[in-house]
Amino acid sequence: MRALYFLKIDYILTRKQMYIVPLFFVLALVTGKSVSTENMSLLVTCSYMLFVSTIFSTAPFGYCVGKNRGFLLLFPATVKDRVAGRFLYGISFVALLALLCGAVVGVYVMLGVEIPLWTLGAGLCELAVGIVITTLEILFFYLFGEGKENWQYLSNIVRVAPGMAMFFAASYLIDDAQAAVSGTEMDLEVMTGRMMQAGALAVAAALLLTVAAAAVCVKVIEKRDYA
Amino acid sequence: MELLEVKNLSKHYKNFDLKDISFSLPKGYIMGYVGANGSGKTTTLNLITGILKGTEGEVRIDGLSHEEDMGAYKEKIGYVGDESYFPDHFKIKHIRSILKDFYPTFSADKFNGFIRKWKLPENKMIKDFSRGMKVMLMFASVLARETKLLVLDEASNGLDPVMRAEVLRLLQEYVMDGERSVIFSTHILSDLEQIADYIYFIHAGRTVFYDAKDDLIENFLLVKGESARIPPALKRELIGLEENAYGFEAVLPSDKAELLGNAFLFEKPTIDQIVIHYIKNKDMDTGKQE
Repeated sequence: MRALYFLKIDYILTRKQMYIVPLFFVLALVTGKSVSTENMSLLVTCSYMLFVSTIFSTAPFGYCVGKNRGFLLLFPATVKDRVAGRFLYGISFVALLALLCGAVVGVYVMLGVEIPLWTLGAGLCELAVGIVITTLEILFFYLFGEGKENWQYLSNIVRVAPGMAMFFAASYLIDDAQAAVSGTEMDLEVMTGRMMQAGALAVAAALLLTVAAAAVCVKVIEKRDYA
Repeated sequence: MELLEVKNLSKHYKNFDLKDISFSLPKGYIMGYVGANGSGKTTTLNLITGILKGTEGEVRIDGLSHEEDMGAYKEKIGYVGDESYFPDHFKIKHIRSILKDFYPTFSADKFNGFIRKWKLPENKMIKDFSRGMKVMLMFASVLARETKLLVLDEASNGLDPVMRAEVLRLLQEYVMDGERSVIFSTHILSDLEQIADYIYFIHAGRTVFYDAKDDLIENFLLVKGESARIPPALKRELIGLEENAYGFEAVLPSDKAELLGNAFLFEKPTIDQIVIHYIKNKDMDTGKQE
């Protein structure tokens, strides 16, 4: 339960960025229109949303530095609660933007755009990559930079670079994937099923990684001062 | 009945060692924790709150140690520091909502009462509060719930006299029921003169003295006179001997009073004077060693 209280604190800390999220939704709708008219997948738009989510999901580390951390440390809670709250924030933010991706896709489906079902599986794979990136970023911040005030430059790189790499890689791979799909002789239904399975497995594996990373953080932080 | 028990508390850093700090504070009393900058006051208080981990030793609050039940231990503590620990971008409503979540004994009515009484602005962010407002907000957040021990780290520094008087009044009120205690570190020793029951003096991470305030004042004399007339036997006993063109000033343990004869003036010292002369004495000792 206390982990949820820490999650709430992180949402209050970063409430300003929540005002920007609807803007990204609108932007995704607009860019989605251009990619769909070029007969490309909305996956590019989704990877863009997930890129944004990986940046925002570690924002509490930037808001809670130095003396401000005292507020969190004094609460009657364990390190486990605090770390779980921070991971929940990161993953819930990625999930929130994934839901918005779903909403963007829904809007286009209602507008009559045909979305191939296999892209849902690919979308789940993208979500898994987003979860992994967020998890590794949070792990990095806990192991090397929690509460440090003087490394804004490095922390910005850590927050932006992996998501950006994911975005460009996804944009590149989606072209190849579409070419492969149109060239394959496999039954589309079978392929869609396999893609969905792969996506679901990827998300499950990513979540397991998150739990393992959180456990590592707890072990390391419990030995530290100011924990 | 002891509320706070600290036994052989030590903390090792690369450039600093806090060594063998031991004391106990009974229920219903206020302890002043004093020392120069860098003497280990904040380290001790952070060890008591459980934010720092001691290298050795043990702290118990109302019989409970941090290791036994961290949650219950921290619930017993109210901490007010010299700097606001609230995130700068929070408003009072956020703090109220979060405290309500974490502390079952938190009373929003009490909290609101303090906010109104001290005229703290509900709609401003904490970063726009004055220092006094930030301190009073920290007090509101700890006094609005049931705590056993108030830990104050230089909390009254930088406050105007009216607010300082209010803080001292709050502390006296806090211990009045005989069930709760306060440990209070400050540089403003006149505050301790007014409210402390015990004084713990620390220097360079080591205990210098620890006693009831009234006994401490009884145990020392402030001595003044002509430097030229100090006999060697007396000079050895004087603590923090300070000489100038008009004579000398130092403190002397009361049990050495017979060394004074009739040649010197003496009076009861203040806590401030005892501590200052002790610090001078320690600095002189360090100088000799170097």
